[in-house]
Amino acid sequence: MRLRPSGIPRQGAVGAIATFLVLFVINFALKGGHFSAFDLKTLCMNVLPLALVALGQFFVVMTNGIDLSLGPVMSVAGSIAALTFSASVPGAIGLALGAAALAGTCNGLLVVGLRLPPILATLATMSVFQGVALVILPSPGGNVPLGLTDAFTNGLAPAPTPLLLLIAAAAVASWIMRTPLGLWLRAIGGDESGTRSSGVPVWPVKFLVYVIAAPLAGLGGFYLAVATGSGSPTIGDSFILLSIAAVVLGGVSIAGGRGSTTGAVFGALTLTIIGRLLYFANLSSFYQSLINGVILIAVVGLATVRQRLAKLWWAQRDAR
Amino acid sequence: MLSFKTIDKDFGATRAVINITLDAAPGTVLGLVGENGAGKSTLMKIAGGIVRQDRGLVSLDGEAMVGVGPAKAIARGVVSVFQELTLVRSLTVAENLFLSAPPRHAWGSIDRRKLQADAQALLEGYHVGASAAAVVAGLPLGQQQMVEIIRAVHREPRVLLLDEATAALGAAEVEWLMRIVEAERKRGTIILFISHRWEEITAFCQRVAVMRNGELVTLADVDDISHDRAVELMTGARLGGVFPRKQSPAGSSLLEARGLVSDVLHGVDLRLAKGEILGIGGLVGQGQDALLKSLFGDHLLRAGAIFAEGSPMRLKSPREAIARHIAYVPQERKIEGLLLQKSVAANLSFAILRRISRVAGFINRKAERRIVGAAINRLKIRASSNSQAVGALSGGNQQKVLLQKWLLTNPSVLLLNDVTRGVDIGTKTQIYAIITELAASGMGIVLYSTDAHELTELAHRVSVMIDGRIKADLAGDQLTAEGIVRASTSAEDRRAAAP
Repeated sequence: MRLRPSGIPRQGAVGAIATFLVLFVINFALKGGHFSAFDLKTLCMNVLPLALVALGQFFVVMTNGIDLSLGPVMSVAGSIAALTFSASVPGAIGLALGAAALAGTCNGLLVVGLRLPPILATLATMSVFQGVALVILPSPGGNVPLGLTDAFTNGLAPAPTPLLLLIAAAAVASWIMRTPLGLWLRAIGGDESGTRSSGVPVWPVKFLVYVIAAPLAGLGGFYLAVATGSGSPTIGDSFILLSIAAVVLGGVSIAGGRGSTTGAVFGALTLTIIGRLLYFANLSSFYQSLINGVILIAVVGLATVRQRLAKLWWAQRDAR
Repeated sequence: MLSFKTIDKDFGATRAVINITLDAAPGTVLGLVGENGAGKSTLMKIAGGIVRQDRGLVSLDGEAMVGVGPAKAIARGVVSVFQELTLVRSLTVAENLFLSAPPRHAWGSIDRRKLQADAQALLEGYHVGASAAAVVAGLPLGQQQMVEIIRAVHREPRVLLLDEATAALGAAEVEWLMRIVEAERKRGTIILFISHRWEEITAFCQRVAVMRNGELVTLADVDDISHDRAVELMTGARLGGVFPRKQSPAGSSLLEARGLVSDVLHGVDLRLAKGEILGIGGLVGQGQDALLKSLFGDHLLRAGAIFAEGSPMRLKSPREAIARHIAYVPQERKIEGLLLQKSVAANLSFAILRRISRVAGFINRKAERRIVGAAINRLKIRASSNSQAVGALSGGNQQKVLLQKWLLTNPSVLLLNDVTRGVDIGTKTQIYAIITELAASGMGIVLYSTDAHELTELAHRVSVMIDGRIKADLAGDQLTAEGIVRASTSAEDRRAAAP
């Protein structure tokens, strides 16, 4: 029997990277062939919140879980930050991320402590956190110091702050995936009971996943507040499903076990650049959601077809 | 010393383990034998921290083992190899070998190079032919089991629990395991060994504990107890020989295959007559699985032709195979054959839904109950009710459900893919009787088995496969277990499994 590189189909981040590059080139052409430092900065600003929450979602999805509450966690963190900046900036950051971590701990306790199915547990906490955000900040507002917005959106010309943050977040996430924890995430998503029998502390790892995911989303919410100059109690809602879409677009198996942080980031980049394309193509942003769906099906569908073709190719090769 | 003291364990209304007191000493291999549901696996799982006993105490060298969890058990030096493989199929062999504690760089990430090198060295040290970089899902079952075994031994256990670790292994691989177990025994490891093959019990063990219905019946030196006596103790009744009598084959051709070629088959011909039991033998992973699946239309063939009762069949279509009255009972029942969450009744009726459907596709529940009830009676399936989930049944009973599910389709050809793997002797005897009876009634049966004795006793003719080809056809006087094993291991053994 010949050994295959793998009996398991892989799709990887290739689809998302290729789609992003194609859309980027179209975007580039639409803008008359120039891409300035300002464009880079805007793209990074736009993608950073989604990339952060998608990375959080990525860890959860890798264990065959799902976290519907990450969007509202962004709203809570952003609202808290917007309200407390005036008192102390580091205090606001600490409070926002602390609240997010607390939210993640709740999710972890429900999923691991009570053994609730993740979709059910986070459906409930999604609603709870939406409510919490509205109680904290009933209507958009708050106060973000101008200097802070400037520091987090501009930075130095060749490397704007959002780009640095994006790279830092991706690097840390990618490092996590290279540690034993990362291996265990892939193992749990692949076969949870087998992983447990192998002596891996499966429940603590699953708990940790929710505790890591929420602060990443919280950071995204914090950044949204800073970048827009105010907090909004509903700003995270659109990210609930976008974060899942970004992860799946990035080649991460929704059943867990397979995927990469690079994929999740490029999934976020692809979804973000679609919005900018519509803007430059003079199309209404109402088309965004429609196009997102079509692209999602195209990329995931293509990956599936590619796997079938690869299988056939192997069979043909063996014939020779 | 591993001591079980007055252990009780119930699963719902089933008393799995009843008041068991048992000691296992270092440097001995203690065999646990008994029918399915006798409580062997439960007892082992209690020792391995997978299941918590209701009453009683397990202690290791006088130290009580409290709390559950495989991680805790492993930390104490209690390591298990299970009947159902626990490797993560989507990971590589190396990742699986060091899953709980991979080598790390100073900055915390996994040292891939060291992981790979350590794993390769470990595989080579134990003469396992699998590559450390290979993904487990792509390996034959036997090699997966070998990887799992060396992972357990590599942990230098104080207690090694082998729960049907030989079930997926061929003859050469069983010998390979025997050398490993012998080395562990000499090292002073306490070893518990479950197997349904008596030859293995006598070969591996010094002591043997016979269990029946959750109770310990006898504890004896293995030399002081004969196979017949052990079977008697296991079943609680004297049996007239394990294997039923053979009928001689006759009749026209039911199924014929010519020149089957795929990525694992390299030109296979076979012919099955009415009423014939054709045995397929050989080491594990020589293409037997692919051969049976291709006859059922569930394997990608590149060349060849299959004829059912003389007329050609469309390849690659299980639907067509079913329509031509060919039934296939798969090997890994958890993966291929049963819906574990569903009830016994639902599983049994799944293949005949069309027959019991009424107008507009609604299932005739009355007909379902009648047919399923009769089927359960016929197979003596031990289930507390027809609505019990199949996953809650013991392995042997699951296998019976699977067999019955396909018999309900009234097949004329039955393809059996190592169906007695991991099944207890009592259930095996029932399955053997069913197979013989079906053949006598004119059904043609292709029986792949890793058990050479089973093939010898049941089949009229045995084809031994090596590397995707039929290397020998044994019948008449040549058809002996020794003959099968010899043919399996003769010629150029291309497999780089055990030396």
